[in-house]
Amino acid sequence: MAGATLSITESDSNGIRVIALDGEIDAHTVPSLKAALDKSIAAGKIKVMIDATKLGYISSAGIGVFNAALGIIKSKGGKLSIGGAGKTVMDTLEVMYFTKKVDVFTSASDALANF
Amino acid sequence: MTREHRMVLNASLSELSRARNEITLFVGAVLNPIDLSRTIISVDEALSNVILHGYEGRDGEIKLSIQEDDEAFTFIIDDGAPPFDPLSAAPVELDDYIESDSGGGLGIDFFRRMTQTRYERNDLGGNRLILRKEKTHEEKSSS
Repeated sequence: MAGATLSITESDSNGIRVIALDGEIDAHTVPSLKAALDKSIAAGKIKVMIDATKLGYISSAGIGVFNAALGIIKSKGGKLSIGGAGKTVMDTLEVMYFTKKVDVFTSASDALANF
Repeated sequence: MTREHRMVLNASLSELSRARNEITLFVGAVLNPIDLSRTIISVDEALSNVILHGYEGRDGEIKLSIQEDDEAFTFIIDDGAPPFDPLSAAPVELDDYIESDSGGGLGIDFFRRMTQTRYERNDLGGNRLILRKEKTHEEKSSS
């Protein structure tokens, strides 16, 4: 059984690291998300936008990784936001209080414009 | 009206998506999209907890029974891992959690808030976790 899949595409837009997610974040796929965030932060990318336009599912594993990365990013004076969140992803972020901590937008372009 | 679906999972994180797919097939026509999402996450979190903290990488089996009656969906998760009552964990204070940089601990809290949860030891000496998701009035009408 192959399990869930998560494709991660990284790019830069006007000094903002955009991490686009396609698939599902669960306890199986979350190590690749953590690796991508760790790599970006290590490269000095402290303005990070998560493009969740093609993200179909997120469990607490993903929120935990976002939360841990956010702590590092903020300590370096950076910012993390999430754009393109669909209805159920947005609900999960709200229920887990993450929308109290980061700006979350239903549109990726709105998230980029917020930096 | 009652119906049931049973599945057996290996204690592997790669099995989580299969469980989510089968839950969707069983309950997806009844629950609204938000309730469906919250229910799937609840069971996913419970299964992840068993795999990561119960079996801790060891081979093992998890049995999942999904039952529907007129009032609710009930998810019964049986494992053979060492006894652990997830309900004995202190509730997460979300305001405190979100102010911290913690990377974990939300999963148990999530299914405790989203479902009625009961823990007991099973006949095999392992654990049985029961998650019950009450239907809304509209969901009762559509089932």
